[in-house]
Amino acid sequence: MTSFFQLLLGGIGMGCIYCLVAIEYTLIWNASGLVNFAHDKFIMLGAYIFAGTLVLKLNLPIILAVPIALFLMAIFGSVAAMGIFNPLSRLNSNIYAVMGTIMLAKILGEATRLIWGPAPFNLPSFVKGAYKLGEVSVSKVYLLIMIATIAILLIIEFMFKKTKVGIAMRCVAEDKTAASLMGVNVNKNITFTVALSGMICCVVGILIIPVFNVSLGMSTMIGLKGFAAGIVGGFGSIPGAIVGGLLIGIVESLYSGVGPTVYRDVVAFVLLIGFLLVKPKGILNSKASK
Amino acid sequence: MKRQMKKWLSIFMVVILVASLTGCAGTPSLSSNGGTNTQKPDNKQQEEILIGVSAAITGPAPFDGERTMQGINLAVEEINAAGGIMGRQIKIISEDDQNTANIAVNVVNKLVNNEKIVAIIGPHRSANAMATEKIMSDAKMPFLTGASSPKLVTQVDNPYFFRIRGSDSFVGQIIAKFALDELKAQKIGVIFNNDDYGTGGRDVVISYLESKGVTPVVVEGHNTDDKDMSGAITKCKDAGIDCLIMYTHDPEAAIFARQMNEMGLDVPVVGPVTFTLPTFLSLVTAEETKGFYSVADFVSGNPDPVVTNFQKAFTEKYNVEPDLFASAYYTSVYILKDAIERAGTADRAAIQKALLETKDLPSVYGKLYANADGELVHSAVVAEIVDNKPVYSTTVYE
Repeated sequence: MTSFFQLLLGGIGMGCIYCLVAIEYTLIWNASGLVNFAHDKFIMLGAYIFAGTLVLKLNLPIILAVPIALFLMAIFGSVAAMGIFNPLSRLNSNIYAVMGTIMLAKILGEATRLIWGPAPFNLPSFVKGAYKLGEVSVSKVYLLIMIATIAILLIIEFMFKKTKVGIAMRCVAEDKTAASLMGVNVNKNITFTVALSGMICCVVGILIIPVFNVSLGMSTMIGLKGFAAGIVGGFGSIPGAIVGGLLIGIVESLYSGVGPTVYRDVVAFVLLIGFLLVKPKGILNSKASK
Repeated sequence: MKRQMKKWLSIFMVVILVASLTGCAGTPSLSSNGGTNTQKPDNKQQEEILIGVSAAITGPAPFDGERTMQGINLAVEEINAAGGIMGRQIKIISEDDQNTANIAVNVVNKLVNNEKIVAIIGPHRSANAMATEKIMSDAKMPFLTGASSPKLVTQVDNPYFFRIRGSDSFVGQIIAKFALDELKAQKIGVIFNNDDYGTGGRDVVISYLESKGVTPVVVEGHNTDDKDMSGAITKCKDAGIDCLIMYTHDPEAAIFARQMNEMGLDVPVVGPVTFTLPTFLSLVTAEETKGFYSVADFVSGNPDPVVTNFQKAFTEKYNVEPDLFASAYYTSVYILKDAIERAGTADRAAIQKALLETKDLPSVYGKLYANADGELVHSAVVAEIVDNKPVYSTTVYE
């Protein structure tokens, strides 16, 4: 029974990560109709900036390094929006913007290797250790992930309901043309969305450092599984992202306790394909299933 | 006016992009002349000896490739400074195989098609060596690799294959023997990476254990780049193991070490060279590696003077400690030098024949000799990881 709880806890922890990833690319999708295929590299970049430069090179305390990293990633997101998303989204086919993000991913990957070197590294004292609840050991990092996820969800919820920018984002998600007719600057909106998505990616990157170490391939699988989570839960909907993320995280973790662990990654993609075949709108029946 | 500016801006961006591309094309495939350009050989009479290298510069473990090239370059520099081989300077033609099988195939094809290349060093990982060995035997190109999977001699019969590290068929047995005899383990768990290296090691370990009447209670695999090992660890805890044998690469081993510590799986761990690698040790803490034992090829602290001299030279040149990759591939260049000098000529067939006759060659791995399968290294070193550092314990001979 303790193994079950152990695995369940790990599953919820990873599920929160997938959920955050699904949210950050859903935001971009809702605002611009584009998928950011470089999102896993954004996550990696956030982790490298935080760990490689701010903490290890400049020796900043964590409490300073986190907001600075967030700020830098927000700026990076804005530049990406102004350089790639905005200009390319207005062309007559989405394929150009998609190719743009795929190429950005490649460039980011190699640039990171050139700047910070190919060797994986770690932050030795960053969120290490676990609490013991009887026989079950709860990693501190999973607790932090869950708290951060809830905090981000609350902030986004507040932003969407109460702030002008957030309401504008919901309008653009509903109908871009109508929103611009109502005076919403769609370009600025997309820039803001990508900046926000960049910040969430940075948070994800920082959170997974204690779990995965900082390496060039740290976020590839999370990016793919986060994508699957969004589709399973209902593409384009935030509650769908939460449901999808948790489902994949828990099922995958529980599976690894009973089946051969070599096939652990298969679970997420089996779920993805299964849902696409049977219920393409996802669990929560999203409208944006195209 | 604004539209015109935008048009010029986009043309400007395109020009910059194209210019950066030509910059990339200009970078030559990392060829090195041993780094000493003052030793310009008299090219008209003494042609250089070309050796091809397939190294993992990028990919899942780029650190290994960096150390590989450093080891090779140090050896080439030393040999060239002393006059080269038979008076001819060595030139390295190296390519990045990205530590991936399909890229390795392309790289090896490129190298064997260069008629001037007389031998190839690499590819390193067993999976990549398995994928390319036929290309090299078809081209009658002798190649030296540190790939340790026994499959390279049991499943494949390639006369051009030469192994420059202890084979896992030998290392795996030492690991299992150590677990049974020294650690007195009774319930053993075996964790392995699902590639040729990990599965090769697993097979050797399990067959040795079963020959002693012991069946491992847990056997769990994982893939390269897997980041979450909690499923396997939970199974080990549930089975109540008292010793873990782990056959995987450094990044995955580091994640295991950390998660084992967090989940409270407190048993000694025995494995191959992985735990002595700086790339592994830099990712873990002393608490996480308490009770880890490694059967390795190369450990600093080995009192053998050949080893200490190499260590000194490497650390002086590169400011970092050498590891398995540096030492193995440094040795590979000296093995080739010895073979070419005995053959009297630098061509593929003569080198292959001479390599098979290697005998009593001093190296950082003890005296090297070739057996019928082309395996050159026949000793291993046992080390315990104490305070996150490998501590040399003893040398074991095959």
